Amino acid sequence: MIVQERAAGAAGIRPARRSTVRVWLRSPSLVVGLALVLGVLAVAALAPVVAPYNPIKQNYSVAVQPPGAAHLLGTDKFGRDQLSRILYGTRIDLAVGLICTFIPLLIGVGVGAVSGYYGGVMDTLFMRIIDVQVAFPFYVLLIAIVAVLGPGLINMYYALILVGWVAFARLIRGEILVAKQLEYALAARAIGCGDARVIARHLLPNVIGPALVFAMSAVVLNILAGASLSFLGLGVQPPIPEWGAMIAESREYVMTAWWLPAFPGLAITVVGIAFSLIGDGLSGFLRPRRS
Amino acid sequence: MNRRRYIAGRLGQMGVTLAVLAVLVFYMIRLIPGDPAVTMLGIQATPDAVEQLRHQLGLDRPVPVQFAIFITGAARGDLGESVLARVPVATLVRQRLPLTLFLVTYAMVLATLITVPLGTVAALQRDRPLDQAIRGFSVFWISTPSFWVGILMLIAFGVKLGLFPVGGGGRTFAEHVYYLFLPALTMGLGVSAVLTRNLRDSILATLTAEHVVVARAKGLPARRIVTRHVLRNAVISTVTLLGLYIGFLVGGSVIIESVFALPGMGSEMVSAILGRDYQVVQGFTLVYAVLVSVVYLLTDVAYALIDPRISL
Repeated sequence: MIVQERAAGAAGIRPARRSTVRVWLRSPSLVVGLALVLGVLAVAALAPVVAPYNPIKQNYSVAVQPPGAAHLLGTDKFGRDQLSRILYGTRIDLAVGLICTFIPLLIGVGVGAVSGYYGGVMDTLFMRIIDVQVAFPFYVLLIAIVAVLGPGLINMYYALILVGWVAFARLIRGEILVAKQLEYALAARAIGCGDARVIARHLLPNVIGPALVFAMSAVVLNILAGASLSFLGLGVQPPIPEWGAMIAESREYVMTAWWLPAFPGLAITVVGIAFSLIGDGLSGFLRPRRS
Repeated sequence: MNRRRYIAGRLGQMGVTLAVLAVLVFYMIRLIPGDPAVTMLGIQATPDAVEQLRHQLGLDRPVPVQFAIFITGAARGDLGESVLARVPVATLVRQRLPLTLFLVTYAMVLATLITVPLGTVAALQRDRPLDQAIRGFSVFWISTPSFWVGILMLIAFGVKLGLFPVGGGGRTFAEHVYYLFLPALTMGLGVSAVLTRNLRDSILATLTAEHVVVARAKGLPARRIVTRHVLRNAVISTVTLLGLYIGFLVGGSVIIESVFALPGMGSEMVSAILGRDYQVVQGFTLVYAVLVSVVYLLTDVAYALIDPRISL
């Protein structure tokens, strides 16, 4: 054992922190969720390698075929291989979920921290923005923005980012309001730390947890929203393989070809469950520390 | 009277919100890249037609005048005219709003009927298989697109089994309840997934509260403790959450109405966007926003009246 660790040390590799691993294993949701997400990321990266067919190539001689040996998940009305389209669709849907969560997270943390720490006019202004935004139902706001900008993938990104940052900002603001009164924050200020240092080094590391948990549900929400907008014809446009748009295209065949709506929806659900499980696992870690 | 001041303050806040809302919605049409009249009519439109539409929309006047016309019109219930349907937008709202309201209320009722038993059982069976199963139910419904579930339900219960109609909202109350069951259930399941977890945690927190310990010490039967002492308190936070989810449900109705081909506001809004009928989009957005603001206001006021702690 010691020899192994020394060998690892000599090779410049830190020995695995066994206790950390054991803590992680105590949360099966986290492990399963992470494994699923890694799998989905691999599919997104390797789509051109693993997809058996070209996802947008039409072949009318095999249109609307049920799942079978040649086409494992069947074909659509243009004879395109559904498995290949779903595999390529991973790229679009995953990117929507991740990018439209990460950018709002950054904006929200910035605005929320400044707003909660300094208060004043900035904070009042920010609270009014929240009031106005919560008055719009989530999907109505998204749809209204897409209506102004015009349907399409890029505009869908703008809409989701414009709508998404507020929740993060509100969350961080609330946490900072409480944390800045706590002893460690007061102590940091007392020893002469500047505002920027207090926020970045002392407050944010302590309050970022809930925002990260929320980020996991935001990924799910954004993937669902992106698919929903594309389903309505307001997001990703054909022939780009996107799961929501695929379900929309399948609508005229729902009576006869069940596999066309079934599998893309299943793909959304699997990715959604993966991120939900990670969020579930992470929130389990936060709870004991907060009580 | 702190409470009166709270309600007055909340009303003032609502006034500010509505004013900002009006400005935002007003600018919606004006923010469209290019000339909105050309966008709405298509590039083949004659210059005369474009000019006429610009005039009809008031785009040929100074912006403050446009806003004054918009806001006085909206106050009188005049939301302009649909370019495609050639009817006042207000008429469309009157025709389609009732179904949307019915659907959202129905979904809330179903969500409550699903949440209360599941949340209670999950809490009482904490960490046992049943709790895990209910947790799995939650994770699944949170992660599933409602439009997909809607389509699958249509296929299964509408087409294959023939238990429910595949479109339309019905005319009478009884017909509404029957025709809108699948759409309302689809929406309700999604919300109950979130609410169930909240209720479970809330019940678990209440179970250790002093008054529950006292009730146990007095030797009250378990069933009575749960229904009278635990649920009553635990349900408050879940009801608050349900109030917040009204906005989400109203938004979700846009998608579900499109899936089930229901003649509500949402399906009209989607076809208006695809048809570039911006007057309709603008008017509907305003109605949705005002509707949700009013619901939030009523929720807050109701709390201020019921819960003495709010005035603190």
